[in-house]
Amino acid sequence: MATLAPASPVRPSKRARSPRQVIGYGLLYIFLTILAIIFLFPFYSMVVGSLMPKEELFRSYPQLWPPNGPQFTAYRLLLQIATPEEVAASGLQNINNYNFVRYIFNTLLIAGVAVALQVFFNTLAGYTFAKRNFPFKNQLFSVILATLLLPAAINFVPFYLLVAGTFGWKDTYWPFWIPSLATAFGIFLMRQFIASTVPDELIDSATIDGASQFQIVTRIVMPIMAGGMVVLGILTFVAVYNEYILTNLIISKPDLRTVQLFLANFKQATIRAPLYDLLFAGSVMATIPLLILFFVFQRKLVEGVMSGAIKG
Amino acid sequence: MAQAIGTTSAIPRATRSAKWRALLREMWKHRVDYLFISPFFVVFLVFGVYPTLWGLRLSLSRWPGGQKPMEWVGLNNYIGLLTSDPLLGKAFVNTMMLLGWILPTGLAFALVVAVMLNARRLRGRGIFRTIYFLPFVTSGVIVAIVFSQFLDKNYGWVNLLLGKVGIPPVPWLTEAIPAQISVTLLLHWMGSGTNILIFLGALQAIDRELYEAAEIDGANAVQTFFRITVPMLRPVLLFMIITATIGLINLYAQVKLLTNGGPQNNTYTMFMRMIDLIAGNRFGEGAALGFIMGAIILVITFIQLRVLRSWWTVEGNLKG
Repeated sequence: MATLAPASPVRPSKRARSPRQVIGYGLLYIFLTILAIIFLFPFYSMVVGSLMPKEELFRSYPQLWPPNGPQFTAYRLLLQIATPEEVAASGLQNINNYNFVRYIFNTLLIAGVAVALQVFFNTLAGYTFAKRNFPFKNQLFSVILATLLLPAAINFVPFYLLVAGTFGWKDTYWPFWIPSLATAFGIFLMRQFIASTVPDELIDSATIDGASQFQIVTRIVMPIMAGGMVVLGILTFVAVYNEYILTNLIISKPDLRTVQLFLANFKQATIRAPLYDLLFAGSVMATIPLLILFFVFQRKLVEGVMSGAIKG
Repeated sequence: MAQAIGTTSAIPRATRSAKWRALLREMWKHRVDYLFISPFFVVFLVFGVYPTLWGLRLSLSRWPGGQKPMEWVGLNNYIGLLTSDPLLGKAFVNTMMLLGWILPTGLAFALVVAVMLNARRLRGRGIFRTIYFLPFVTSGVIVAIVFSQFLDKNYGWVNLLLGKVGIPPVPWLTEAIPAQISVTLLLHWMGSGTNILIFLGALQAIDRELYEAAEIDGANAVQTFFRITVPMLRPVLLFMIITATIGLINLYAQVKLLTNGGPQNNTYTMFMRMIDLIAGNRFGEGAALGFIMGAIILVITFIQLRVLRSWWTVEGNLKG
């Protein structure tokens, strides 16, 4: 109400502000800042917790800063570079079952291949739906959109049985790569990006020059709409990197675990007295790759979500 | 009679087959286009359609998996789940309660913050919206780990801060209502950023002139909010309500690791029931539960659409 004083239709100059407006904006900044602290705090407490030995966590937690200074024992244990004394003091039965580097590598492998496949095949299909004309194009695209409305729960059990039983993909990474080779959401997103960024004239002139459809996609379309591919790539990467439900059913060999599966198993195994130092150190290391991606591409991501094209 | 039909359809048949041949020729000319879009359809047929159809058969059978034969049981799996499965009933009630907690609070919160971020002369908008969106990168597993410490009765941050203002420790994870509130808080922290961004995008798309016209007409802030802002956000609102509903019905990892469905199954979710049925090799019932959950999503979405539409038409009529 303060901002809508019964004023003249002409806006006053930007400098002139009534006292009520100043107070209003002051309160706004305070509220938004408190909210920002609430959103950031879990990240911060995760880092602080990972730097405290577990005895300290249960004696004096919560702390804003480790009372005896930061200690990196939990990180050294998970990275397999701890001293024998530290391993003995940690109480962990078999330190080889906490090989975090291996789990990070597995997770990056799964997510990296999934991103490459999905971005490539969705771009091919997205280009075809955006720029080509062929019989049944609209009907086929409607089918793709309709599948977006199918909840995954409907065929989850038979899907699992097909993948793990019939195809024999238990303890392999194929279930994360093949069934989502091309996705309805990805095709839709790529079609939107290509339709709005790639001019028809470029494609026409390349066709006249004798380029094949495949060359047009790889040499002309992909370089122009690389930004769109990045957005799809990040969304895919985050989703696959953080996947837990299917991973938990498919992967049972400890060496093949992803970071999410490792952390979840570890949390459940120590449910009565969680080893929060190790859990937090693992969570911090698992989140770092995603945070880097987020900050490098945050503008593109934020704008993508704001445009409403993307559901989180 | 038969002769008459034969003679009248003879000519169209000829042109029809010519049309077919032309269509096939046209399709053959575009074989590369079909090739480019084929991966989705191949994968969808193999991993989407086929398991769904087979799942329909499975849902009418008892099958413990492996080489054992499927035993036809008719609708018994559905009847058993719907009438005598105490856990599923509890899971359904929990989901409805969570929906009741989350939808109004989450949407109102995201909308209020988005309206604030949309304030005309706000500086640092980009920083705020990035920070609120940051939880997007966290996984359900990690959020559950962090929140189970946060909400710990004796060592957690929340009770520490409540203690500072004289509120006795709350058993966040070990009593029914507090546990449901805990799950709600966790989901808000994870998901609000995306909703705020979507609202903000929609707000920025509203024509400023609408507000200026309202201002000239002497409307106050509350009136403009309910008469301009909210109606303009309807499509976005609808999208969010439906996505939130589907998300809640598929909820698993966060709750599994935060409360493990407890206390006394008060945060047990429908997807947990599905995973438990798989773990118990009760695949027929699991498949049936999948279709039941699909039907529930369909019904809830339908009701939401109807209710929202009727609200909107009533409101429209009042406005004239």
